[in-house]
Amino acid sequence: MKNVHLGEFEEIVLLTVVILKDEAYGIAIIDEMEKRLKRTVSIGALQTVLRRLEKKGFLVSELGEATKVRGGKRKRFFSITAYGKNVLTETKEQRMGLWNAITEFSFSS
Amino acid sequence: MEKEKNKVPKWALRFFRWYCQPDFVEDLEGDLLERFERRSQENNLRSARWSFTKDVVKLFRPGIIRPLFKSNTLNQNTMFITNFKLGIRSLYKRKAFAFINSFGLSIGIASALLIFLYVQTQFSYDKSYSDHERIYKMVQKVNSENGSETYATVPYSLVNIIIDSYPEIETGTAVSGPYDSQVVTVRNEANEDVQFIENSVLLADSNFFSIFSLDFLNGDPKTALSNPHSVVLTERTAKQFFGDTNPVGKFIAPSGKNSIVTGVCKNPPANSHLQFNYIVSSSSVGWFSQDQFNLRSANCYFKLKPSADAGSLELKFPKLVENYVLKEIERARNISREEYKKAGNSIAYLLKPLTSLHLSEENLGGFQPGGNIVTVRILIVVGLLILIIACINFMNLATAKSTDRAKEVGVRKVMGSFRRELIAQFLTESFIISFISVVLGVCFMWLALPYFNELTNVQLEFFLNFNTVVALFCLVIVISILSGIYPAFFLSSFSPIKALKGVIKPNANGRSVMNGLVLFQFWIATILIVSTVIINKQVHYMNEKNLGFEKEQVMVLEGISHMETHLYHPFLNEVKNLPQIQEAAGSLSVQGFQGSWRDNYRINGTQEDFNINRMMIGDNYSEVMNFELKQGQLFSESMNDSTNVILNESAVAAFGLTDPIGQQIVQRDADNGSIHEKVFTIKGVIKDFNYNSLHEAIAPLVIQSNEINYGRMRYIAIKLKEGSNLKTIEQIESKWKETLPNRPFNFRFLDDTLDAKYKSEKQAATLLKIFSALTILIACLGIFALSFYTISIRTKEIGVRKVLGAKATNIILLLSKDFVKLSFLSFIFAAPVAWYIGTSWLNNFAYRIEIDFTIFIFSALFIVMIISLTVGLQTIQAALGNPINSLKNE
Repeated sequence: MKNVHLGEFEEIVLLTVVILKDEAYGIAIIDEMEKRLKRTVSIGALQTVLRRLEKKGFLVSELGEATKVRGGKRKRFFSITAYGKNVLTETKEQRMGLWNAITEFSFSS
Repeated sequence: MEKEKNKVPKWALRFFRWYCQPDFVEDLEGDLLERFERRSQENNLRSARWSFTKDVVKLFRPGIIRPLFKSNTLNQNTMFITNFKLGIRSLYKRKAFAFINSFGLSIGIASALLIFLYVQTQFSYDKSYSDHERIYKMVQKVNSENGSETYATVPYSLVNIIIDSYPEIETGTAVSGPYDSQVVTVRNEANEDVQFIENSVLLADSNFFSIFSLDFLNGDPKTALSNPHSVVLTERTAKQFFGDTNPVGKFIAPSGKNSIVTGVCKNPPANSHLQFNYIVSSSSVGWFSQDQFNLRSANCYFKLKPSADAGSLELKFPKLVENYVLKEIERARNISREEYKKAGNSIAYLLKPLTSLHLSEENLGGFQPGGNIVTVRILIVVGLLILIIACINFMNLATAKSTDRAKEVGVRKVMGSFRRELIAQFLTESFIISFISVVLGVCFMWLALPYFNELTNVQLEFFLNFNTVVALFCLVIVISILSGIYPAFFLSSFSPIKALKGVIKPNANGRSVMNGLVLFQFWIATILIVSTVIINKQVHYMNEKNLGFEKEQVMVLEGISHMETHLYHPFLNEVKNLPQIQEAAGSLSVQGFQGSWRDNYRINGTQEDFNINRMMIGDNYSEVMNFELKQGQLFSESMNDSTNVILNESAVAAFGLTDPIGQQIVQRDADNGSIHEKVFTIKGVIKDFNYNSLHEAIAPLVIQSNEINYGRMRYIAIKLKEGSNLKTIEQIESKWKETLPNRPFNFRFLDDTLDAKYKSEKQAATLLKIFSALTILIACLGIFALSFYTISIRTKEIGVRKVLGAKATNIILLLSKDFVKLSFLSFIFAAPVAWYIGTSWLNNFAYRIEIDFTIFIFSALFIVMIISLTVGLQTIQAALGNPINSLKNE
């Protein structure tokens, strides 16, 4: 797990997927990110990252039931894998380690 | 909902569906639609549509786009490397097989490349002249009751009229010639006059070099031929005449006319239909400026303006015929144009593209023997066939080896190979073989090129540049697919269970395909053999045919200035007294050389004109040539024959004479509107002889004596006795030097000169001989390997049969039965095709061999013999082998 590196956007997407639990599909993720982070995300940017994360094994996906809205197309729901959770935790610990290393004095200057 | 969905920008959706990876299409399209729906409710429809399009475009990224190839997930490089490695190993394991394959293929490729080069040169004629696509040659089509004929030459006076009357023409030139055996006097640096004899001399007007863009080394191409008595030399001739000095401004006297060298041009390229050694300005000769619309005396070329169309220009020419040509014919033949047309005669002028001249059927180039489009087409077919035969070898051997490879295929399939990957594997193998073969083939071709050039008398060159490398690589791909696709599909189709149980035999299907392919190979080889035999026989026939005169041991001296005949008579008398000389005669005509005219003759007292060939010969000429006298007498030294003629039998028949000797015929000569008549008495009749090439039937001929022209001569024909040698020629030369110092001594042998007329046939025969030999070699390599293989898998069977009491002969019969059957079958299919091809080729000749069954029997025996030789040795070895050896190890 040493060489695993999460990009900023990747990390945000992973976190959002975790937040949304069973409801994490494309548009919902975008909405959640827009709501919480106030940043607009295009479908293209999000979807490429989702597929990449899936390929790396941080996410898995399955297709849901057919719906009446959205032209009867099924949704693809993403959920985090154990591996993904580990990576997220590790990333968080790294960040925390960094934060903890900052002294009060140096931060204020 | 449906309504809203329909409002989605259709093309954007379609674009998305096209590029998106199929696995993602559904949910991504759902996301896009959901967003669109929400937006169209929140904002207006237009902005929602716009956002939708934007989303689609933003989704067009590497992670989402469908892969170009389906197996994107596989690592292609590894697969290629593995395939390549396996391919090399498998070829290494089957060395003999790989060797035979690539050797056969490389020979096939080398032949195909040679043929391709040859054909390419044939098609490249005259393309080196700038604006060649706008240059046309005017030719004359003459229709008469005897059919129509197209001539390369037209009356020269038409050229200036055409240039002046039609604005489509940029420029035009009239070229007369080629004149051979021209004596030219050159003043060298030491101020001495030296004489040369030159062939291929032209007369041309000042526009010549604006049509034929030859670079000048010295002088100005625009004005070089403007003035009378100007001579332009080619680089080669300039070197010969003047050495390394600049010849411009130097004195030169072609045919005794004092002139000045005005320019030196580059030698015409080898792939030009027009070849010459020097050009004299046509204003130097008087007749070129007189109006002349009847005699076809010049080759005329026009350069059209870029916008002009040759076809529509051609349509304007009939007016020209009415205004000028028919008028002249009326005067010359003394009939009205209505009568002329009524008799089924007409004249038309056509424009032929410059680049089409070399391969035109009637040799409309007219300056040298042209190319033969039939030969070129035959060669293209032969080249392709050789390649196909070589590819078939590969297919057959690979299929035959299938039992060997069945296990391998089985194991691979069990280990999880897909059929597609197996096919890729086998195609890689055939790619490796074809790559090696192409490299070898290029080497072979490169080695063979000088010999090929020598044999066919052409100058082919091969350069390895980027284009050829790309072309060769394409060839590798095509060959590997052609030869590898069937085995690849066949081998990969094995069911793994059967393959591993070892029950796979080349099944009935595979066998019949193999037999079919071998049959096809031998079908082609047989056609080639029969055609080669036919062509060879025809060439041999032309060489050996009794032409009606003696062509062996006849020397013809050239370069005699006919105006100074008095100088040559003493020489002639001297030569006759030499011991090794049988007979000698001066003459204005020699068949196969120049000196043939056409005149109108009629029987004295009748009105019907016959247009008949005329020769003019000296006393004793008939004896030199050994013409066979049928009636009357030949010309004799003891009397003046100036008003006597000798006819050939065809002429007697044409005139319809029953008792020709002593009858009178009238030669009617139209000159400047008045008609000159000369009356001749028929003195003798000789048997027909072939004074033209064997392509044409013998036409009527009137022979006059040169005594009507004060005994002038342009040639001296000398019949040598049996057993004469180089010394005899030296004796003649020394007599020449004694009586005619300062005159160059030039001679050719009559038989060599006549043989040169069949150059293109000989070339075709040589080429066909080489390539059919190669085809047979390749086909034999194929069956050699095939029979080797069949025997190797039947070793046990042979052993058992021998143990049970089979004799060696039985076994030989058993093993060779199939091949003999195949060869007979292929012969039956090939014979009619070969017969058809041979007959149509022979139709080019008025004098030809009959295709009889001995040709076929000979070819059939030849094929059976070759096949038995190829198969035989191994078969005998197998049949004689000790059964213990084949049975002891299990």
